[in-house]
Amino acid sequence: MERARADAQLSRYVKYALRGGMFVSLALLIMGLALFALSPSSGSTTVLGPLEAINSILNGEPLGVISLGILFLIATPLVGVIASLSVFLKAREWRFVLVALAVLAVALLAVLVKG
Amino acid sequence: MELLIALGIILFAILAGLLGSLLGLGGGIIIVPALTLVFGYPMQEAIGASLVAVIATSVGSASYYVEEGVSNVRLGLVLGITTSLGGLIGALIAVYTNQYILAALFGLMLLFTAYYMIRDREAESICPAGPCGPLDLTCGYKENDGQRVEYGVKNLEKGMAGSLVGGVESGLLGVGGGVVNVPVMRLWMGVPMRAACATSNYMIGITALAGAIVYYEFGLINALLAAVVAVGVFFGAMSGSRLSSRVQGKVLKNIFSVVLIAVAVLMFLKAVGVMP
Repeated sequence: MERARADAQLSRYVKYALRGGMFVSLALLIMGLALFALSPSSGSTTVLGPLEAINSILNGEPLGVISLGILFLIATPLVGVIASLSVFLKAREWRFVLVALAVLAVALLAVLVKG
Repeated sequence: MELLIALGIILFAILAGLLGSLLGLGGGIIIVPALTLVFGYPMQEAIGASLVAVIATSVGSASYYVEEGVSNVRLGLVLGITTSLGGLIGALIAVYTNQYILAALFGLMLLFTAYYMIRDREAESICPAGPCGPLDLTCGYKENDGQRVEYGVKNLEKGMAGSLVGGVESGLLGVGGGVVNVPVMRLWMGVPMRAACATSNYMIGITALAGAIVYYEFGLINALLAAVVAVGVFFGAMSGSRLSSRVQGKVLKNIFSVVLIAVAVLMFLKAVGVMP
């Protein structure tokens, strides 16, 4: 795949990844805040993990919706990097494949750092 | 969180997104002092919420700049390696650091930012297009007058080292790191101003990501606070990008620099325990 075509595809994939993440997370955050305003609770407000958030949503708690929105938002730049990785793999640009993998490795390190 | 406090925070967040978008800064520079000095949140909690807001700003604006072709995604990813590593290191330092020391460091960063905004721009020399070193980071975009600008990237190793510093600043203090990244790209790497700002907008999301994960792992992200701030910043940034062509950037920068110096003094007062 020639460079110009790969660049055009890179822009398109990253744009869709960022925009998709933005709309999903924003919708969840606004919905969660609206639900919280309607039925405020006084418990802990620390962001829940993905499974806890889903359980919390099933129990009708707004904190689960807000937590999921924040987790989606935090994950959005990562989805952008994964989209870039897929373009580099298709174009066989191995040096940039390594670059994208290195960024993902740092994110993984951040997840594992607390142990 | 009381409704009135939530409304106050959302107003500050909208202002942060608006000014951040008009001045090319992340909103963290307004959000962290507002949350600590006005609403009394501890530094770490304010930084955690601010990092989430930085990601919201980046995701919102970068999707536009990437579509326009102004963000150099390849360069953003290469610098993203060291800037996210810096964000991780900065966040790890911050979670173990006394909040008064963080307030003092934040004050210093505000003074540096004010200086950066007041001083005249140094001359930039744009690097000619073509591979430089092992990676070809050549990129191009269309100016408003339709003219196409093609440029290459030089001094990659030096740029990556500079981005590491920008990343540490981000994770440590909850800001985007653009104040470091933009001059690094312009003055060291030969990237044109417009492309440097747009690429920085893309990078700050990757930078804040590593820091935000650490804050999340340590239970330092208050979901309600982060949600209110992120939504406010997002709408502020959207309004800012619409207003940008009608606002006198230089005048706004000078006024904002004075505000930053005043806020820096307040942060120093907090650091020595004079302010709550």
